[in-house]
Amino acid sequence: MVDARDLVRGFGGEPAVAGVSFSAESGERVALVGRNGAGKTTLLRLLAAVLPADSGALAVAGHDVFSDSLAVRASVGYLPEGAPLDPDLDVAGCLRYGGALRAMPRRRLRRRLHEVAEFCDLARLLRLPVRALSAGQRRTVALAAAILHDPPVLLLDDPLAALDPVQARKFAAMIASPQVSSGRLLVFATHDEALVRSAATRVLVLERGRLVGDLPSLPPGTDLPGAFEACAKAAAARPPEESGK
Amino acid sequence: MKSTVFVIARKELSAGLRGASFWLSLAVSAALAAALGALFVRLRPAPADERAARLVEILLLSTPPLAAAVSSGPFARERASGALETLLAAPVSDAAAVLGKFLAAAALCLGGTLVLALVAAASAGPLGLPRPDGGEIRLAAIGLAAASAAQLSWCACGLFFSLVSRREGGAAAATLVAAAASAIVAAGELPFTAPDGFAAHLDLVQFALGIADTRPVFAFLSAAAFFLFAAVRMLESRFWLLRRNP
Repeated sequence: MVDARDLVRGFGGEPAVAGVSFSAESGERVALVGRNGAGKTTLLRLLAAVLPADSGALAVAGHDVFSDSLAVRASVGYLPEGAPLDPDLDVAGCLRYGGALRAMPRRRLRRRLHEVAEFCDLARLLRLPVRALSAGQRRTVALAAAILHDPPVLLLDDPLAALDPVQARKFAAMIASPQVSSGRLLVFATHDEALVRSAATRVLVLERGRLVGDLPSLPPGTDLPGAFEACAKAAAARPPEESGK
Repeated sequence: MKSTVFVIARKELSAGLRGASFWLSLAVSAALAAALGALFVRLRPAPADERAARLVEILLLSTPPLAAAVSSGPFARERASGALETLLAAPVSDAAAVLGKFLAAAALCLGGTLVLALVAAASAGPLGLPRPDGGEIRLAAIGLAAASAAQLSWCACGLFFSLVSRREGGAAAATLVAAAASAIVAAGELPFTAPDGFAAHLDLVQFALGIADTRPVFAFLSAAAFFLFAAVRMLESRFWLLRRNP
């Protein structure tokens, strides 16, 4: 589903993603964790084909990102950091616009719009302008837009950022629900330990653009900073050719 | 690609018509057209067969606010809200994104220009009947082509600045300055400038006499193509995404 080999992306001479390699299959729920600036957002942008990699190889849903980026984007649902929505539209317009850009047939778009609106509890918000939504509502609409075309790969960048605890719990439950995560590969970047524990079936730890840990779950009794430290130390102790893989 | 271009254009067109900036800028441009029309009649009376060229000048000089307002918003607003990243995550090529927004801006601008043409014609006085050789008709046709090409180039310029600038206001100001400067150069003979400038209307009068000089049209179309190309390249660079989290 995702096959990344030696992905590199630099900003102004500094690598934001430095030789990351990993594979993930449908049905996995992969948490990307790491400090601020570790490269989580950049890696998600590379996977979403929003940002091209400088070098390496990357295939998403069977499509090569370098040669067929539009096919990759068609196979991916992406919720960027901050859940941005088009300020010119209302909620229904936002969802319809996303479906139209993905050339969804009208009947299927109508059916999916109804389904995601029901699942995300958006029915009463459909006529509201995006500007009038709260942070939690915006996040929910952005998630609905990301799953509208039923993508095989779903990428969520810091989905719980800036949400109050009640909204965060509700949103985390939504992410872990079968409607969002089953039958597809879910990759999410987060700083939220509870989300990692409740939703992730695999944890990738990034440190300064390198993949320093690939864990089946967060070890019991270890918090996220502890996991970063342990993985970074273990990676530093490994021979150079193995680190980052 | 064609269908996504039209999806984007339709969305931008409807957003533009709903937004206040289009109507406000149309009102400003209409006031400018009326004022310039009255000024031309009072300070530089022209024979009836040259008045169509005057109309072109008035259109060239009064439309920059409209072009700046409709073209500087789309990318700047989406960059500010972050929605541009969502658009780029959809299966839409960068060229289609630029073309879609350009088509919408051009449609709004050219539609607004029709209104301005009526205002300018009303304020510039009677145009007189076309001469039997059709010179004035041809003159008006080439003049309208030049004015339309100018609009296209300003819309493309506005989209480019809209991508480069962080704020919609900054993009609009830069577009307005560029459009106004090129309009003044193209219009040439103003009531308050030297009569032998780069007067588009002099070329147009020559055209009416049988000398086809379409340089202004091609100059503006070339500028439009250049700015569209530059906007696509800027979008491809993803420069606004290239900063690290603190």
